Amino acid sequence: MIKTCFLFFICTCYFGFSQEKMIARQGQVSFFSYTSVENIEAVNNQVLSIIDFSSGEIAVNMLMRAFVFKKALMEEHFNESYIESDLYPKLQFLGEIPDFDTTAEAQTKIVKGQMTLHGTTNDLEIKTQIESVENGFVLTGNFEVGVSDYDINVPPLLRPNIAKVINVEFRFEFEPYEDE
Amino acid sequence: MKTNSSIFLSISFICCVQFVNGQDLLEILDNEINDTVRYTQATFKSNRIILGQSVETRKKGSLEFLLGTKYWNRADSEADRGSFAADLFTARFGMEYAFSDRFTLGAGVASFDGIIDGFGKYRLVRQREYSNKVPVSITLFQGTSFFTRSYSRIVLPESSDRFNFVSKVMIARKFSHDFSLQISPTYLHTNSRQLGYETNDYFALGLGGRYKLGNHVSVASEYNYVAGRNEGPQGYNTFVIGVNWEVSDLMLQFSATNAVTFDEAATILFGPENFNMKNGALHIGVSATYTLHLRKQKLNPNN
Repeated sequence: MIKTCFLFFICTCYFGFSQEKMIARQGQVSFFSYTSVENIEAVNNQVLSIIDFSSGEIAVNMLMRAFVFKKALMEEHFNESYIESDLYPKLQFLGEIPDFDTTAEAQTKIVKGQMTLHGTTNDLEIKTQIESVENGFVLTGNFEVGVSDYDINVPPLLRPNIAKVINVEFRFEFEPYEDE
Repeated sequence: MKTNSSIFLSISFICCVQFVNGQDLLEILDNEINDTVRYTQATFKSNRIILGQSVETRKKGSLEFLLGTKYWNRADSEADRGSFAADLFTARFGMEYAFSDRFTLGAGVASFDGIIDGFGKYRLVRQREYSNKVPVSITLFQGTSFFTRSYSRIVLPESSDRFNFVSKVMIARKFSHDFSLQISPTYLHTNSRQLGYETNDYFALGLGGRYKLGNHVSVASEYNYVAGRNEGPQGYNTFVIGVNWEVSDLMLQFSATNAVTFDEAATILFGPENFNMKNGALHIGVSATYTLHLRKQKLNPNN
């Protein structure tokens, strides 16, 4: 009797967890650097994110190589000379969405977490708009990243070309996550 | 007792699940990353290691303008010579256009030797990033050059014999973030026989490497060995050592070499002096390459 109860309990746990996750497989993250010399813009359309509603945690993972720039040479320099994506291929974010109300149609939350980029981890707070849509949620927002906070070295000669603070925008469309 | 242990087990299980959750989430995402093939970038920073061709080609729609200059003294130059800084000067102006990510055509003309050169490059194999499936890049190179005047010990041949041809298979590997190496078996054919050669066909081996000193500055070197000749009156093997400095869209290359020409055939075959610091042998090179993007990449392929 107790054994059955225990098994049943584990099963509910397992299924409960798997149904309480939502994933975004084609999240979009773009960044902008505006200076008087040149404007730099790049988009990554293959950003992954997952939310675990049971713990309120959210994780983001992306390959830096997936950023597309208008100029091919900028893309190469970004990867080769600044982000060094052969040494640090990924950006990872792990945070918490406080008091996620799954029934609300629209809500704004401050997501607190840690972002790891270019081998450096920093605390980050991101104001996020959460919108409820059919069969999922859409998370959008923007925040700023200081280039020097992530140990990204800009040579003095090129400092006028690259903004000290980069604007980042994101949009994730979450759908139920099926555990395989 | 049995009940207790069951409860204990289930509680510890739940605790466990809660505890490893954050890392679990990142792990799930790691497994979700689609393994699109990504090619190694910047084995070398430009189409040229310094003076010689590299495996690199530019992305589709890139137009490059190259201005190469070299400065040197005459072998018999005196200390009280009348010339400013250097006795002699040569410049090559060239343009290169990438018709696709793999295929590039280029042409140029040099002032001192009057050699007009043209070439085509095709990237056959591209090294892959984050995997060892394809460990090297291979690029095919075919170049032609044309003598338009006599210079140094080169005598202008009959008009039909003024062409030279170079075929190269360039094999390179980016070993690490900083270090790349290239080896290129080369076949050359000259229609005219210069410098007392008894054949029109030559085999050579090119070696090139670069080491990054920083994210924007690297040292690079090249050496060309020509088989089946004695160095001397028939020309010297050419050696280049220099620094590449990348400044946004501009690539600056500073070098010391014993080659006077810019095109592949004459550079490999007709090195006028052995590499040393003496007058007549040491050529100081300063080159600039500017890249212009005639085609902008689309940021949103879905729209």
